[in-house]
Amino acid sequence: MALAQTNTSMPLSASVTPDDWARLERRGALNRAGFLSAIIIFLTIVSVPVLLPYLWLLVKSLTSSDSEVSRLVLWRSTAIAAVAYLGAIALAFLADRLRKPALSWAALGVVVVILVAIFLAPYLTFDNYRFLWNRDIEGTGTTRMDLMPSIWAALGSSLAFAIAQTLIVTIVATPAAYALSRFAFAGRENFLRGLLLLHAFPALALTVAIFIQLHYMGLLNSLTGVVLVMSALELPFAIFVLKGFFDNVPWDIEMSAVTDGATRSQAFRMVVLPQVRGGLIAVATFTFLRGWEEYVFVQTLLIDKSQMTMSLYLFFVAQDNMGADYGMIAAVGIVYLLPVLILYTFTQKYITQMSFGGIKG
Amino acid sequence: MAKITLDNVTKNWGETQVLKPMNLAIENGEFVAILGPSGCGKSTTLFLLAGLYAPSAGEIAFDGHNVNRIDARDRNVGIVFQSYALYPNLTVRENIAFPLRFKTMGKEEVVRRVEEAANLVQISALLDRRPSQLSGGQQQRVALARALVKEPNILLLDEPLSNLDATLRITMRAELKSIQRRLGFTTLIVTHDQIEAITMADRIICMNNGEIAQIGTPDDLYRCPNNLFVAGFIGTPPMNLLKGEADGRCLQIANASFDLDAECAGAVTFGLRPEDIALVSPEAAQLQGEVVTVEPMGREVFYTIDTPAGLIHALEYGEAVRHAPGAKVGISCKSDLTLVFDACGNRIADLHADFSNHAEVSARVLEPAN
Ligand SMILES: Nc1ncnc2c1ncn2[C@@H]1O[C@H](COP(=O)(O)OP(=O)(O)OP(=O)(O)O)[C@@H](O)[C@H]1O
Ligand SMILES: [Mg+2]
Repeated sequence: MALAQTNTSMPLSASVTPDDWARLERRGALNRAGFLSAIIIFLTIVSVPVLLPYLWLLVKSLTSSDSEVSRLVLWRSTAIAAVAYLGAIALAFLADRLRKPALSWAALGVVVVILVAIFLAPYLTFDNYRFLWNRDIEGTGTTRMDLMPSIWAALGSSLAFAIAQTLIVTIVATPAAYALSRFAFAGRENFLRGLLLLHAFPALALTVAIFIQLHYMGLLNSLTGVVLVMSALELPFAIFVLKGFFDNVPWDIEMSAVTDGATRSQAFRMVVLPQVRGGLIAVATFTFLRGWEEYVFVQTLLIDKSQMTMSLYLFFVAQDNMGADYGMIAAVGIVYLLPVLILYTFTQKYITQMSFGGIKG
Repeated sequence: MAKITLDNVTKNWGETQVLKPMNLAIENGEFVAILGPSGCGKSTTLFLLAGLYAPSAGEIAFDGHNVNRIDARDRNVGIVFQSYALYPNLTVRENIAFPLRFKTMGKEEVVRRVEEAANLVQISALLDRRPSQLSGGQQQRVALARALVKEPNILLLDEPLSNLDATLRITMRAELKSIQRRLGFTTLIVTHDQIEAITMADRIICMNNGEIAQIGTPDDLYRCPNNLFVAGFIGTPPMNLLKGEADGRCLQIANASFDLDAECAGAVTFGLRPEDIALVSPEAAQLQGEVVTVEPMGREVFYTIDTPAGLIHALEYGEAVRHAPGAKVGISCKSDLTLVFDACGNRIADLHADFSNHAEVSARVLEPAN
């Protein structure tokens, strides 16, 4: 009794009047709304510094380098983005009350497009992207042909570099990870520990040694050399992650294939490999991205810069002695980003699986 | 369609011997069940036969040919794994057809065989699904179809019915048995379920701790268990095992003494099946006790009785509860098949204790309490 009396907030005491129920209902609704808005505000605050640079990069790459115009456009674009964002949140809230949500979304889209057309479009230019079709980026009439390669060549080498690295790493890591996962051999534990250590090791510390090694191998100044170095550095992690995926393929399934008449390698190809497909794609994507973004080793090991990757190209554009052209740097940045975006849209499904397969190790 | 012989086959994992030297002969076309507690080496035995494990010592022979060095893929053994081991990346149809990929066989032949196997286990409607879209029981049946489709010489089943519901299990049991009869392959089935073993198998191998405790027909194992393990393992509810002391022709259990039909001495264990016990009036029996619990189970009533020799379980047929908790009863025996085990747990052959040594006992079985 005493307990029930002191505990005033006890909601379901014996005598609940209809009024009380209404009050409780209101309180519940209020709590839910408060919780939701707190989450939304928190997420918004956290994401703004992360996402704003991307918006600004895009906008910057599309405006002329005049600082007045540039500042104006930056703030206007931010304001439009804010309008779009708030509109989207409002629509999401009202979604179940609207009769035609799709129509409302379309309306919001149209509003944003109109805002962009009115406030931004007059200032936008593709001029910063002139490096795509014109190697005379200074507009001086004298091409720095000997120094400045075409962006397409840089894109090509970056692509070749990243793809070669991806192929080498996946082709070597797959059997290695399979063996580590399936076969009990002497030193297996130490091998695994070594892999982790290698991965933890700061690769930059090795630069000098690698430089000397490549020099003796005659691979200095060649993209092949850098590919080999990068592959070696990426392998431990790839093997480790893939081993986790192989560990998740039940032993029974492989054995079942063997009793069904498959050889060990047929069982691997027909039954095991399809099940680690997601892992392979995830590892390949990460390796590709590591190669795509690599700067330090490319910078160090390609001394005379006769072959240029995108990271070097970006650096090159930024280092103009005529004063940096930020619009163009931004434009190069966008070109550098695009392939990554495309790759991610195709493989993100598998990358999100990675934490599942990989961590069990 | 092969005769299997195991000659002193062992299996070690590192230092531990999980399979002690095993000798076994299974006739062509025989249906044999392996029964035993978890971890006793049942699956290991199957995998040795399938060639997935190599024996650490000894010889496995099919039809008299040593197959120790024959690869698993060439043994023509069908196996249903405890985990089904379906290929998740393939549809049910492709799963069943998988073993046929490695045989030279026309397309129509493959289709025909797959449908035949699917019909056999009644999954024809599921052929285009993926294993992940099937229930446990359906997966099990797919695994069975996949094992059957290649018309194996030997079929190995690792708890193939464990995931089915009770009714389906009974139908599948009969089905499996009739498929086996029809196609005639030698079959080994691993199971935890005694009823399954008893109803399906020609012979049962009862294993304990990596050893064969006894091989025999279901009736052998039930009626004449060779040792305490089999006696306690086979039969639900389990056999009553009472500790006693034998001296000459007399067996002393707690305060009661019974006649033995042969000479014996030392500590022994006396085994009595619950259904062989007759509950009589206290004066009519040597051993008395008090009813502790009464569990009516439909066709029979299960009593637990506290006696000086320990708790004794008794099963009486008929729906009527004839003794209430707290009632004093005497414990007598309906059959003369009482078993005596020596101190090491092995049955002493041809030695029985005579429970009904009072001529009047059978006449004075208690009438229903009002
Ligand atoms: N790869 C292995 N390495 C080491 N020990 C193993 C291995 N496989 C099985 N064992 C051991 O061998 C013993 C027998 O295992 P097995 O799988 O044959 O048991 P089981 O009778 O099939 O049990 P269950 O009914 O639980 O399936 C167990 O004690 C197990 O721990
Ligand atoms: Mg098992």
